[in-house]
Amino acid sequence: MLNQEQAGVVAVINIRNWPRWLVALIYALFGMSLPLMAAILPEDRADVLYHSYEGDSVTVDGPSILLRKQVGKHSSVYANYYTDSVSSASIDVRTTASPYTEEREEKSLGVDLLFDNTNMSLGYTNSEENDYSSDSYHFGISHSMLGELTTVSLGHSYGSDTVRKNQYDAAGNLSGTDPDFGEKSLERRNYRLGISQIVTKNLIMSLAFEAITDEGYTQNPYRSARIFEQNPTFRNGVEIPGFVSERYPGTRTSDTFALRANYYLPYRAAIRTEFKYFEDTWGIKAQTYKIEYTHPLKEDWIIDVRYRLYSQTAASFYKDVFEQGEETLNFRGRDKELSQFSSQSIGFGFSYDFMKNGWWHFDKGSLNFAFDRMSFNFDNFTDYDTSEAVNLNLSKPFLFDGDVVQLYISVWY
Amino acid sequence: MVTNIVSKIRSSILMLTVTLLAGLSAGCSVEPWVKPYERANMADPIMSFARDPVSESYRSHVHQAREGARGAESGTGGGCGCN
Repeated sequence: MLNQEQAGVVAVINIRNWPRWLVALIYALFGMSLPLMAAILPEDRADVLYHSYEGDSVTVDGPSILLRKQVGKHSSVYANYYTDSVSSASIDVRTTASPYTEEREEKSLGVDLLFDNTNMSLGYTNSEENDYSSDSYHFGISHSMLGELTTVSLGHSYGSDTVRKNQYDAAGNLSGTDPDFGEKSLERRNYRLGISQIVTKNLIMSLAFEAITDEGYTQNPYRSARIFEQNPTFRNGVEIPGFVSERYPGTRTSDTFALRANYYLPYRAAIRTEFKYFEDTWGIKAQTYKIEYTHPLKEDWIIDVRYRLYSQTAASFYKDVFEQGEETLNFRGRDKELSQFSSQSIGFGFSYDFMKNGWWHFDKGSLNFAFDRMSFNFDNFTDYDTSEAVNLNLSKPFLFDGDVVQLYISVWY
Repeated sequence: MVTNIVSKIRSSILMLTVTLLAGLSAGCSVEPWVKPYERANMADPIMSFARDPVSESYRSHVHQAREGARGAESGTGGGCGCN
């Protein structure tokens, strides 16, 4: 029998343009009780994770704690506490502001409900930073059929965010929020549809779609774009452009589909592959390729090795440096995540199983370590960092590496 | 070109979903070609799409905070912590 993780790959689709009768038909069908085999609830487990990211003079680390427990025969509840402790002197900060530290705290609660062969999930997430608040509500339903060879999933999330702008005094200390900026709002809506299929006894595949719409304040209140000036300044013979405020569209809609396949090798090992395609109304198109090899060693160890390749085109209103006169454009932005770039990451992980025969209230446990090295290469985002006396990369395309570390312990009970 | 492909795949998925559900609702039964006793490999944790949810969720967050693309993975919540 499949567990929820194996069967529950959620996928997503853009249903905005579908006829209403089709949407109604799908929801009506999912609401019916079909004569199929029973699904199961997620396993009772607890995870305590320490995460760390370091790259481009940015450090983000903190814990994530996830608890899940079955309640009665038909429901399972979970709670997650997650924090990001950020210390940043990134390329954006180095060229436009002062280094800062801040904390993001995220809390999630949810429940999974089991009705025969159908799982329904409800969830709520709150995220708080001193200049950003976010509330998200999630709904999902998955249904296994055809002798549990096929699982179809639907999901929807709604998010409501509030954006503020911090102010700092002359010494660089946080002094409050900018009253002139006030509070801006952003609404997010996610629509997901997925299907996973056991193809053979060694191969499972899934196809996932997700459409996301953003409406409201979509930009970052601190970031600036670059513009050539009439009376330019120079550093080492290089013209250093001036600054102009960014202006983003008030809406953004994106479609993503992901095709995944996991294959079981004859000697108990697995290959996991993923292809993902993304496009949005800002003109960004992106592709992701991922392959991961999982190899158990003896009875207690599992080793993972993975490679990921990502590339994207630039947003239509992105420009590395705007020309004189272009400050009148309707939209302009210079977020490097909206530029044309590619990234690669290579990583590995170890997992060690313990308490395999159980102990006290626990059935088993695992200790895990994972490391990933990410390398970003930007095609049209130039390094204009003049914060240091010498910058050997000045006026060249920006690039940086980032290291991601995860250390976590999991117990099942 | 790619947009058309996405549109066609999207339509195909919809048709497949509706057809499957409509067929099952009408009482059709399909003989599973992978029998329950042949699913030991599928039940092995190494074949899971998300073996450790807390780790997968974090890894998705790391990518989404630094890339323009988003969605179709197990990310959660809002906020950024990425500037």
